[in-house]
Parts: sequence; structure tokens; C-alpha cells
Amino acid sequence: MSDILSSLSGAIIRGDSGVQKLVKDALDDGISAKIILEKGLLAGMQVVGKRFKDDEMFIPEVLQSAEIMSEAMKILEPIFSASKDQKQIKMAVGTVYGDIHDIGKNMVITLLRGAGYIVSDLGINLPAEVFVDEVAKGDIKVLGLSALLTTTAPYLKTVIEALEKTGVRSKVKVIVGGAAVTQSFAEDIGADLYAPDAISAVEVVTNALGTYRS
Amino acid sequence: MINTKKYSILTEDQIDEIHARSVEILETTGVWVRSDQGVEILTEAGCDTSNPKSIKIPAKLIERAIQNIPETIDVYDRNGNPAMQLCPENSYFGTGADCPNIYDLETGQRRASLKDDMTLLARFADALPHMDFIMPTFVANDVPPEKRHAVQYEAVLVNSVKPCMPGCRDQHEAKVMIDMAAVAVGGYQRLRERPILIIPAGTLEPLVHTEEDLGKALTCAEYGVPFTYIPSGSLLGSTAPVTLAGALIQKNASALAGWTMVRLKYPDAKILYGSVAPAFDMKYGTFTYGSPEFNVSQMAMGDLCYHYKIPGFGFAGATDSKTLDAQAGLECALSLLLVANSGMSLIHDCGYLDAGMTSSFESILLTDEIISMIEKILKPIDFAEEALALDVIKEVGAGGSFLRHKHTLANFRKHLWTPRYLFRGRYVDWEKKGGQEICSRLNAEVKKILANHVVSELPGGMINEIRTIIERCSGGADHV
Repeated sequence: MSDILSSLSGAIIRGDSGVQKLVKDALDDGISAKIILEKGLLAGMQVVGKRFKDDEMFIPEVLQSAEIMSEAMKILEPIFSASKDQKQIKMAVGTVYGDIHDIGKNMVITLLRGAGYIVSDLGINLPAEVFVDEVAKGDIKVLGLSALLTTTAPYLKTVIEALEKTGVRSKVKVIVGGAAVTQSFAEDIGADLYAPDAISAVEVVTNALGTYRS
Repeated sequence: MINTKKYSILTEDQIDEIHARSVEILETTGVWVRSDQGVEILTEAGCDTSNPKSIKIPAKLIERAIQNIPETIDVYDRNGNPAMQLCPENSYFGTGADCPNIYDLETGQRRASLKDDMTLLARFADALPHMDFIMPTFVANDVPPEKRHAVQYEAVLVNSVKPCMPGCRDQHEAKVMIDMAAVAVGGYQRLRERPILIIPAGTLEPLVHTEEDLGKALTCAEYGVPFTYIPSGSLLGSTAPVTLAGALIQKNASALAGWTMVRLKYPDAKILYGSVAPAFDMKYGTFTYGSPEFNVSQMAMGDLCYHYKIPGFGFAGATDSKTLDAQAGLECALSLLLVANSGMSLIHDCGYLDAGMTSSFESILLTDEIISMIEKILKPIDFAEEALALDVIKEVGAGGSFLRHKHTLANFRKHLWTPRYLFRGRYVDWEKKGGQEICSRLNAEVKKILANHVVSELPGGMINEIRTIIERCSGGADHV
């Protein structure tokens, strides 16, 4: 078993698209989806994280690994959603009204998916109603809001206020980010979480939630 | 101002390749024109604008747009005196804009900047011999967002005679700046003849022309005010191809499309080219002001400015370092030297620290010193009769000293560069003067300059008119 698991980690670390076949092989061998995810795939992402911290891997390589992780998750998702006690946590991320920047948002989404979460990309230039509707559905545990500019960052507060006014604020943890956003600004506007960049966003969210599962 | 022969890095073939490929991109991929004005202009010119996300521009329109671009743009100070003659041979320098943080002059601590900092900055930059223009460096964080840009420009108009590049969000704010400038010089016609401001505009995303920026450009062109229309935001590997040649092609295509649209409506528009393509730091995801790519990309764009015969907007005197330390000194000096010699004419961001998130009076003063030294470095060596010093060499003879010769006495002030702020004495001299490193010494000099400088005043009536214009600036529902 450990051979297959280290092949899985290796594929993640190398960003190798052969990972889907490896996942199928592992399932055929009778290894559970949980073990494949935790001991194979996520173990690989942890190595990627460490190598990034040590300046041995860089953003394009980390994103490649996260993409491959998402590819692998596509095979496991149906198994998790069919299971009664193991569900993947769902999130949604979007860029607020007035702002069309999405590179950072896309990185956050890719990395969160790479960490095993199911993440909807709501898009860019979104009015508060879009976020309210998404949260009201009741599926997501985390809502991510992005604003790059000092002129659009105030809209982050507008969204949080809209969530409060419609009575759905407590359904989600709100994380905010973007170049114009700081820790103290996030606190001032009533966000739950803040991360200065995409890589630390995953850590912040995971610490707040406990694990990838509900 | 530095007037210099340029050091080229692109060959003729490479320049031709960039131009040809830019045209190819505009003819095949096209540009996204998120602007009703832009779409209207291109429709009238015969382009197929049925899909604004991909409007293809034919080569013949582009070729027309690059003919007879104004090669020299004259800019004036608030008193109507010539201040800058922008063209590829001349390099002018100025501060950077929109830093939300400052290193406090008294405490040395980093804090959010305020309106008073901006007022003081304008007076300070007005005093510096090597700052030819001012960009509003400090964000007035204590002013409501909808009035901030106007208040920051007011600080410059009232506290300095130097030309300004006021930031503005869209054509409405651009008009506010133009209105304020018109008050200061005595009318729109006067402003058209002797412009005192240059408005920054361009594309932030590659090949995407927005209503905000195209609107700014068209408004400026309408009033005869110079503006930059530069393809910004080209981070190598993020918003631009990671290879510089590709980034240059992409940027050039963006710029050509912009000039085409503006010049179709206003053939006499006073446009500046330029821009920069720095490395996207692959660890931190940051815009790198100190990367070699930051400098090399501008040297290449300077070549393009010479080729198209258009003045260019450059970036220099800036650093990624968080404090004014050795990294800051290195990055500021290197960029100033290379960009001064590149073909870029209007060179800004002097004094930027922390990739433009922070600035300080001390860092701006250091760049003023660096520019002074660079002026000396790039000045052609004097080979006139007096400089050959033949008689002097013969008189002093073998093994003699020149120190007491009247030729040295008569010429040393003119021919040897003297630092104002860099220390070149011996160790004991340095100790005797307090043994301070440069940042502390600069701090004392900043205070001296601020205490002694007198600004040419703007008449009270004009100040009131300007304040009235600012009062009318409101956010509105669409200014989110």
C-alpha cells in the first residue's frame, strides 16, 4: 500500500497529470478514498507547502500541483458525497463589485481545491446580492471576498453588512483578501478571517475549520 | 534635466519584429474595448465592433496612428515658465504617487499617511533641484475617498509651482483636475497653450481598454492636456508572458490600439508612451521595483520611444526594500542610471520604498542626490581648449602638483561633482560629526529644507475657487 501512496504523493509534488490513473489503481486495490486523500494526495501537498516555504518551489509549480490535486479529487468527490459521515467542505469565492481583478482570487480557489475543499468561483464585479444568495443556499461554510484596489475595498464591508441585514451572516466564516486589505481593515469591517496572500489563505481557512471534512 | 545620447539594447530587427507582431495581434486577436466612446470611434473608422471583447484593428489604421505623433511635449510651471520639454533625448524626474504609508519625520515609525503629509511633500519637492515634476506621493487617508485625489492635487497646486501628474480614477476626476489647473493658470485656453499637468492613463490589464482610462485620455486630448497612455500592469509570468520579448509585443500592441483610438478623434493629442515590465516575484507574488527585468524592460521601451518618436513615461528611484538601507540605495541608483539613459523622458516614482506602499522624505532626498550624480556621469566629457589643460601640464612639469595651480582654482567647482548628502571624509571626521548613517543625516537635511524653503504663493481667490471645485466632488452610487 505504501508504494501506491508514495506514488500518489510523488505525482502531486511533480504536478504529474498521470495522477488520475494512480487514484483509480489505488481504489481498485481496495484502498479507501479517505486514506488516498489523506496519506497520498494531501501528504504530497504538505511536501509542496514545505518546499515553497524553503524557497525550493515557486508559485507556478505550487499552482500546478494544486491543479493536479483538483484532477485527483474529481475521482474521489462522488465517493465522498455518497458517504454519510464524510463530506467535503464547500466554499465560494468572488471579487466584489467595481473590481475586475481575479488573478489572486483564482490562485486562492486553486489552492483551496488543492487542499481538498469544493470551491465555487462566483466570478468578478459582484454586487452584494450574489454573495447573499450563495450563502442563503446553506451549502457553503466559508465565503471568500476579494478586492485589489483601495477604491473597491470598502465594498467588502457592504457585502458583510448585507449578510447581516438578511440574517445569514452566521452561516459562514467570511475571509477577505487582496492587495488593499490589511488585518486591521478586515477586523474593522467584521470579517472573520484575513490572509495576506493566496498561500497563507489555505492555512488560515484550514486552521479555522479544523479539517477538510465537515 | 539630463540630456543624453542613448544606449540601445534592441536591434533594428528586434524593433521591427515587435512592431510587426503587435500589428499581428491587433489584426487577429484584437482588443477588448470596454468603452462606449472607444467602440464608437472604431466603428466610425470601419472596424467590426460587433464583439467588443475582440475588436480587430487593421494595419492601415495603426500605420496612420503612428505618423506624425507629437515628438516633443512642452510642459510649464504654474507661473507660465517652461518647465519640461519632453522628448526621448531629455530625462526629467519626479516623485511617485499614492503611497498609503510614510516614515514619520519625527519618530521614524511607519504609519498611515495623512493630508498634512501630502501638503508638506509638495513644499519639499518644490525645493528640490532635481525633482522636475511632482506626483502626489502621500495618500490623504483622512480625507473621504471621493475627494482624495482632488485634495492631493490641491496640495501640489497650492504648495508648489512645479508641474504635476495628479492621479484620477476616470474622466470625471480628470475633468476635476483640469478644472483646478485652469483656475491656477487663468483659463482653459491658457492651460491648452501652457499645460501644467500631465494625467496618467493607460491599460491596466493587457489589451483591455476601459471607459475610465480611455475616457481620461479623450478628455485630456479634448482640453489639450498631455497624458500618458501606457500599457501598465505587465508582470512577467502573471499578467504578461514570462519572456520579455513576448511582454514587449503585448505591451506595444496595447499601446498602439490606444493611440489609434485617441488619435482618430484627436490627431493633435499629446500622448506619452512608456511603461515597465518587472518580474512577478514567484515567491511572494509581488510587483518588483528592484528586479533587473524592471530596468531592462524600460531600456527596451526607451528604444521603442526613439523608434516611434514619442516621449516615454518611466519608473526609477524606487525599491522593494522596506527601509532606506543598502538594498534601497542599490535599487534606486541602478534604476535611475539605467532609465535616465534609456530614452524615457518623464521618470517617476523617486523615493518609493516597499514597492510603492511606503515613501519618506529621506528617500526622496536621496534620489535627488543620486540624480545629481547621474547628471554628472552622463554629461559628455569636456574637450574644449581649457579642459585639455596643455599649458597647465607643461607648467607643472613632471612630478608636480596641480592643487595650487590657478587652473584648478578656476575650474574645480565646475568640473568636480560635490555631494550634498553623501559622506566622503575620513573615519575620524565622520565620528566627529556624530558618526551617523545616511538616513539620520538625511532626516536633518529634510528638516532644514522644509524650514527654509519659500513657495511662490497662489492668490487667495484662486485657492477658494479650487476649494469650491473640490467640494463638488461626491462619490455617487456608481463610485463604489
